[in-house]
Amino acid sequence: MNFAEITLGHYLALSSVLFLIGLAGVILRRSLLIMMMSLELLLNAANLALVAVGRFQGLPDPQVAVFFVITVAAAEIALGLAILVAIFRIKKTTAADQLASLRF
Amino acid sequence: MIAYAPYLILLLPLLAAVSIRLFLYPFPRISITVSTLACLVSFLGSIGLLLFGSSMGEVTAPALPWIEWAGLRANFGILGDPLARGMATLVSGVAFLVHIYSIGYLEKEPCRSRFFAELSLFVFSMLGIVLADNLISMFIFWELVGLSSYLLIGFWVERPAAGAAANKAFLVNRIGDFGFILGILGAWALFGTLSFADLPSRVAASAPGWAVTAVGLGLFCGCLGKSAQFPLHVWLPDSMEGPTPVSSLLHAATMVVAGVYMLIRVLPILEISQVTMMTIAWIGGLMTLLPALIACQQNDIKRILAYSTLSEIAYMVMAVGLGVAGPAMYHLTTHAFFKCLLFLAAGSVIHGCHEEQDIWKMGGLGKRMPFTALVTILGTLALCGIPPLSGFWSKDAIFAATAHSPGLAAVSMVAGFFTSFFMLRMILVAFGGTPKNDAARHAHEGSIFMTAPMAVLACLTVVGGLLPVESYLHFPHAEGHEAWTLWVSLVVALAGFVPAYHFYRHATQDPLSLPALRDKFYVDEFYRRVFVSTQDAFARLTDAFEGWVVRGFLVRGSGVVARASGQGLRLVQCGQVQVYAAVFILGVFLLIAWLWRQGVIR
Repeated sequence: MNFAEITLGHYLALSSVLFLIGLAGVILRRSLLIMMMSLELLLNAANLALVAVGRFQGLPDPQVAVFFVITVAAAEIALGLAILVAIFRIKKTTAADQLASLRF
Repeated sequence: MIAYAPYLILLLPLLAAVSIRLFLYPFPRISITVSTLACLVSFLGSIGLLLFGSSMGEVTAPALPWIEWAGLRANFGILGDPLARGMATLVSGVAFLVHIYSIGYLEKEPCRSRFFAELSLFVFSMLGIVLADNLISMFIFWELVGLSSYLLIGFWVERPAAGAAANKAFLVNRIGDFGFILGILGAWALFGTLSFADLPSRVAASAPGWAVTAVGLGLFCGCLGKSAQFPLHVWLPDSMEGPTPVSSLLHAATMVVAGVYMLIRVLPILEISQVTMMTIAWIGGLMTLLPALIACQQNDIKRILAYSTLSEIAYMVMAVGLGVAGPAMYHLTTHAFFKCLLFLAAGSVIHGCHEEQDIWKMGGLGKRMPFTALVTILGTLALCGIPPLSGFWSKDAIFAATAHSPGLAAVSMVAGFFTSFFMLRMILVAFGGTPKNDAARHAHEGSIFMTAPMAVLACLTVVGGLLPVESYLHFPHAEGHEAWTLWVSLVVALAGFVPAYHFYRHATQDPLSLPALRDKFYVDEFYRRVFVSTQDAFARLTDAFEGWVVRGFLVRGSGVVARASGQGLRLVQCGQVQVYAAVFILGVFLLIAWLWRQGVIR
């Protein structure tokens, strides 16, 4: 195995691993805070894939898209954290399985 | 432009009806004036046509092209042959007199405007039938008189019986009209034209056969309905629920004889088939007798007259069936005078006795209403065919035509016997004797509006026989006038007076009791048992279908399905956001896998 050369495949593999870790975090962890961190991980996995493809293919568009993703992610986490704080104040918990009042 | 003037005769009453309905409704006096004047102008116009029409040729107004489709060509034209001209004059003249009479008869009626609007609509439709130059436009006006008849019978909307009678008249006429339109379509298929001007030549060129017979019987169906002949006669007695001027104009003088008029128009078609002619003659012959028998046991003054109308129309139908249109039209004309007179006199009696129609509750009216009594007696003598009144001459012409068919002669002369019987019964009970109640005791003559038209009609009843109807119409005159029919019919008619005088001279209640006659030979009951109950059963079936299948299964069923599936799908909503995410991710993977297999993504 040649470690000297890092190819697009390596980047995409890393991105996939990050994505799966994030996915597992969102689905399996109970804490809303951890779930939001995992969401960030998902977004950054996508960012990594975009940047890598843009770099290796010599395209500017994916790299520009990353900036938008970062912006949206920042806004999302700001809103999410605010909602999280509001929920915690009312329910005294951040466990996702406790927050199931919106069912039939 | 002057050539289109005859259209005014037709359209003025329509204009009056529309303007009353739209604008003049709140002003009864103006409405009445407009309606009556429109009728008067139509009458004067018809007289003009009658006197000067012949110099203008057969067709007096240019026909307007109307329907041209797949070889069917129907113009909207006005027919100007002597038959149409004479009939139009008769219709508008009698209608005008009835307009005048109605002014007096309905003076206290708050809805007079509506009555006169509907009367004008009737005059328009009836003149349309008379002046139509082809079967299509005749059929349309035919339906319009059906509508005006419906409206006028049901004029007193607050009376349930009037509404029921109006419905009955309309529905029974539907049956006849269905046959009529089949006949019209058949005539178009066989002869390729529906214009009265072209029909005789086309018919003459075609061969007799069952098809022509069927067409003739179909057309006769229209007459059965409109002229209330057996088996569709049941609506006419019930139609007496309408105001008496309506009974007089529509259900005695003009509308019910439209069937006879139509038969005469299509006579070339009927004449080809011996079967058709025999059917018409025999239905007419039997219908002279049947209602005359029923009338002997009726107690409602208007119903007695209604049954006598059925009988008299049957004489005309029988004459047509015997192939003599002249006597039929002659009798139609004199009948219009004396029967209209009798109905107006009956209306005068009912008006004078405060809406009392039962002859057994009247009595003694001869002294209190001498004028009405006089005109009733004149009308009765004319109706029974006593010389020298008009009815004698026209009935004699019809009897003469039966000279070679002994069966028909016997039946129709026996009918004459019973006609004399029930008419004298009516007069003796209603006008003779002593008053039976306060209403009859305080009976009085109506206003000049009511007596004047009766006086005019009484004059026409007396001298109407002198009108040269047959020679004016140029119908081929029946050959060989045999005298025996005259004497036999006259003796039989006079004989009818004897038992009536014997039984009813001093009667305070009916000495005869014949349930079968009183209950009209149970025809209504038969129809109720057989047709009405069948139809009710069918209606219940369709109602059940609508209730269970359409409303229950289709409409409510689809609602139930949506609701149940909603209830089921609610269970999916567990509230666990991570379960939603997992299902969502699973869905995405499945979608990707499916797209992969489909080869959309590689």
